[in-house]
Amino acid sequence: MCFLYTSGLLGYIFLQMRTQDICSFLYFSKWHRMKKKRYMLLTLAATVQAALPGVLLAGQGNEYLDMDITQLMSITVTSVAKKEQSLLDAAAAAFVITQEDIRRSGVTTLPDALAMAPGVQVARINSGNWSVSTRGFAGSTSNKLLVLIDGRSVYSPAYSGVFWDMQNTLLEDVERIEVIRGPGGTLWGANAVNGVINIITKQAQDTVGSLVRISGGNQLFGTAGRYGAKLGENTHGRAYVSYDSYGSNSLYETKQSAQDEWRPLQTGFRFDGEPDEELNWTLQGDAYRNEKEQFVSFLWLPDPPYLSDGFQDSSLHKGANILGRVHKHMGAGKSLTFKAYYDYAERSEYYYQLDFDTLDLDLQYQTPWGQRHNLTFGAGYRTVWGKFSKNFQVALSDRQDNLYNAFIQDEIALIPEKLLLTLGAKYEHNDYTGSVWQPSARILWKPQTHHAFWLSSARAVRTPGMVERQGKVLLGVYPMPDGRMVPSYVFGNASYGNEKLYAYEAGYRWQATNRLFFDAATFYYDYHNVQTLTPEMTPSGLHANFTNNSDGYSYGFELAADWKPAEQLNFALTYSYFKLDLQGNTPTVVSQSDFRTKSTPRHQVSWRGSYSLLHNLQFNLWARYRSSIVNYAINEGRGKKLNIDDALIVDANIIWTPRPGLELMLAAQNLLESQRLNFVSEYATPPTEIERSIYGKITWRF
Amino acid sequence: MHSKRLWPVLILFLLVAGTIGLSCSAVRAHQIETLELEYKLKAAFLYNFARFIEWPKVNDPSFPFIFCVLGKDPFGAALSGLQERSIDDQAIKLHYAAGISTGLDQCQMLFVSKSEKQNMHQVVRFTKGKPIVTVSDIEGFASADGMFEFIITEGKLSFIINNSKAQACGLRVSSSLLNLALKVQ
Repeated sequence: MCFLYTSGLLGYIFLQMRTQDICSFLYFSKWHRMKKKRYMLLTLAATVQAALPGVLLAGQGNEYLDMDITQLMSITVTSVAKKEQSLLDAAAAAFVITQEDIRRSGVTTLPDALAMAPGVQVARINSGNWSVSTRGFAGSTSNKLLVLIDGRSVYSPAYSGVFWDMQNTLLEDVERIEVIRGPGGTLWGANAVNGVINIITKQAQDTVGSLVRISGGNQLFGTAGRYGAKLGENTHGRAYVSYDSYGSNSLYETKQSAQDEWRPLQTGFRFDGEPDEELNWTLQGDAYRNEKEQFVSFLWLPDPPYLSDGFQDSSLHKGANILGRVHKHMGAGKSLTFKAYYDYAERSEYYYQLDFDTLDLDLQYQTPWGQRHNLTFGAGYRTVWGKFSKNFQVALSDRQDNLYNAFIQDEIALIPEKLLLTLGAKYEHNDYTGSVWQPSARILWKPQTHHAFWLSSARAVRTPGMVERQGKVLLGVYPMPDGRMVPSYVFGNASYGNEKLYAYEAGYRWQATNRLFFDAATFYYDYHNVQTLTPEMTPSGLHANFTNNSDGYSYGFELAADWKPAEQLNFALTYSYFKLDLQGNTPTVVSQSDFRTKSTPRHQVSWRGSYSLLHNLQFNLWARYRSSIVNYAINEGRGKKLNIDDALIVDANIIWTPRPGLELMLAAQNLLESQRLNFVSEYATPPTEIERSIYGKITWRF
Repeated sequence: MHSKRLWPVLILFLLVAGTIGLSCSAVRAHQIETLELEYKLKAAFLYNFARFIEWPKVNDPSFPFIFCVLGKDPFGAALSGLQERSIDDQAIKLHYAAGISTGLDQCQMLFVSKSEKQNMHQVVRFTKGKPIVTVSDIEGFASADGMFEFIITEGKLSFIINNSKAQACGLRVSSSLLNLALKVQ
């Protein structure tokens, strides 16, 4: 409470200050009253501005006097909101990663791109494994995030986490990635506890023409092609194929090859049609086949010899999906959207095989109601068939799960354009925990056009994954006093329930000038019934159960600034502070709360700078810092602590466009160190150091 | 070992501090710049308005075109270039007035500054029936019987013309100007 009060007070003080005051405050002195210092600052400003062509100092004359009115009317005087308007006006901690951001960053995978957003923790574990989380609970099995690709949920129903190595959407076709920190349960549904990541690909009309991309370097070989065309009066389509091959990294302990090559192959298509102004539709689909090598340092076996030697495992992922969406405008702000998708995903590793079929149907209706209300309501149905084999490490029984939901949201303009209240509630019914309610209330206040404050409070729920409910995971095999060897399991628990979150958030956005944008958000999360493992002594040995025996809270804040001092110069800066405290209600196996609270860095900074020279040469630099974390390495004995020092990770690249359509890139990732341990998986993967990657890329559009 | 880890952090700190510091000076520069740009454009619009309006015939062509600014001057140097230009061979003369006085009768064009918001209706009454083109960026100026009102829509500068008022004062606004206006009343 005290925290909320303090942040509220800070917000109030901030509001009372004028721009100049804030800036002079940041200079730690009343420089503008002291002529000498002012002179120094002006000199500095003049130097900077002289150095940056395009930063125009206001001249004495008036160069516009001789223009005619038509010319004058085309000049922008004030800033139009630079960000996607819907997100600028969102009463939530939202951040957008644009196609241009992705292009400049030099990243080659979706999870690496997510590191550009504040409040998101991204760490590459090995070639194809990542820990991606928002506002804590980092880990390779991080499970409180909802990830959607064009509206299709991609988290695995097995454990409610995302297999990032199975998401290989062509990066060139991504229009933007919306990262919403905080609960999105009301609109998006269960599992949107700590955040929603919305990956949106371009419409087919925006990808007409051909694209060929070839990249190669010490860690990566990749090739991709896409062809898009106008197919009819109002129909466009595209198809793509991409193949990448990522080289192996090295093991942390032995410095030998981790043999973790990863080779994703994916193809897909998208058609968009707009037969008339009222109707538009989309039909899209993907199919993929990924090979992934991994070194398994050892594996517990339920039978003699109980412990395997280290061995090489080749895993195979296959899948396909198809999605259709129809959007009908019915005039007067009313619209109806119907979406349906079918997704098949198969993942085969040495110690488990998962096989999921998902069918999802969604209907949504939006209508204004009276002068001040804008209602959105809808309903959805999802069914998941799960088939499992190779059950000796992770055992699950085949099953079908059904999920129904209905939601309503009302946007109320208390003062039109100035004060907006959004109330919403989602009802969801699942086969494990029955009915779940997720209400939220948000308020947005825009005292002036370029300032927006927002407050929100929401209840979000993470429903159990299949493993927690009815799985059986082999923990280890150990000798009993009588000399017998007994396996120890973690059992799924029929009474395992929902993890609950009560979230309180506040934020502020300021479009200071048309070239400068600030965003700040703060939060306090109150967690209940968080996942734990509770040991139980039984006649057959010591086991553990999945339980909900931990409560806690987290808090933090995130700052983001976007500054474009000149046409050819861009900066993006983010800072995130995070703290989580969990208290177990009963003794738990492994100090799990320790694992959860320390696996997320306290401080994270990301600085991106981009400079264009001569219109066809661009330099990009991305430096990110994170404070130290603590992981638990599973293969060094259960719960062996590994302290990972704070780190500065630098990516840099040069993009040269010798002629329109042709783009050459020379990029380096992890530039400062030849290899680095980023994060240690809490499951199976041995600690792996990620190699420095240097690659060249040719992209040709024609 | 420790110092080895320190320098990258230091570099990042410098980058961050540098960006914040520079962006702050940019906020100041830009706010001034934005406002300056806005009034430079408005000055250029005023000059263009004058070229597309016909005033009742003046007897003595050597008489200057008097351009008045009423209230706090928002233009600064943006207007001074007008003095080197002419309208229909009439030299332009700038006149700055603090308040409503008989001196304003001489003006062909009168820009009413935002500082005169309280006196807007008084100004309109004063110019009633006189061949004085009144222009302002006070919200609702055209509806309050002013002649030209500046308005910013979607970040671009535009204007509303109260043509019936202009006609009542014996002024003829060219059709090309009327066509460009956001709204003609």
